[in-house]
Amino acid sequence: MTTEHLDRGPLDRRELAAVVAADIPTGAYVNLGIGLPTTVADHLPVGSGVTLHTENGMLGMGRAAEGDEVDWDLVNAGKIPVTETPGASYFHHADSFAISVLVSGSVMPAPPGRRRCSG
Amino acid sequence: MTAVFADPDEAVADIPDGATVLIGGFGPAGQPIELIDALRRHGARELTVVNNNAGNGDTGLAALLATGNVRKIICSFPRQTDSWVFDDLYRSGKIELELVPQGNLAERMRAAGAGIGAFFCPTGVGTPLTEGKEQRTIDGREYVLEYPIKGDVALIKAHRSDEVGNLVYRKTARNFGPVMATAATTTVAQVTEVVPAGELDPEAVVTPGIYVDRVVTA
Repeated sequence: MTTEHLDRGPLDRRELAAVVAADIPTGAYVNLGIGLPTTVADHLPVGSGVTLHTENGMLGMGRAAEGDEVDWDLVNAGKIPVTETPGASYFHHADSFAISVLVSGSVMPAPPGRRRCSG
Repeated sequence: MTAVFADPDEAVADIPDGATVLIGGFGPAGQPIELIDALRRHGARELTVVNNNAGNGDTGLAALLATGNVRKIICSFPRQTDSWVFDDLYRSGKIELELVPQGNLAERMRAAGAGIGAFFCPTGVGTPLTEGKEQRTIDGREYVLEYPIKGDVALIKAHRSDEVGNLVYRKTARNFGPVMATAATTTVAQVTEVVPAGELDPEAVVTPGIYVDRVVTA
């Protein structure tokens, strides 16, 4: 999907994350790293067919946790509380970095093209 | 044999000066706070600590660093918004830092636990982190030789243990625990509960009790 917004100014961060999420193909395994990219997880509904890997030992990471969902034993690589999706799994750090070899070869993020991000 | 301790202080009382201590946790998740506090009270000096990070805020690992009893830290990601204790020690030359890429940190401990003498890994090739390390081209790709990281002691946090030391973990708090348990001469695990043998599903055990010397409820 290519989205240009030349008529309305730059995308804000939330919109950018939504655009990136929509660009990830079904069936992809993706590691979002830390920081702003992890907000892409908030725009991948259950059933999207995208499996998120977080280096601290999880496949099937879900969106950021809210309210009572916050569990400090369940965090992303940026140490932000997150949720699990159906089919999630946990594993230790050495296994997780072995899995990184597979994940890094499975999908290349779409180039940002002419999208712009504010803030 | 796994010994069940009632008190974290007793479980770490024999850690000597100069020990290399592997400490589990990814930031606060899986950090064995009560064991770290016990080690801080115990007061062993000249420690080398291995952890993914270098302490957050003023508690746990950060409080241990603040005592000045840690001579060197081996970690992958020391600087965070709340790593001010480490930052001050490092800037004033009071702590030595060995920076290790996160996957290498885990794999070097896995190698220690598995009796691997060394291994070739592509991570860090061409960066200052691999300067001076033996390099080899394998199947057209550059690799550097990485050596194991062995611990005298591992302090880890698991969710539950049975009385023979089998461990199950909870969510992403698992992180370095299973690897560190294999890489240390003496492994001490803090858990929320120690149950009788037979109560943990053997299929669900992540760390077999053979790796665990001491468990303590905390």
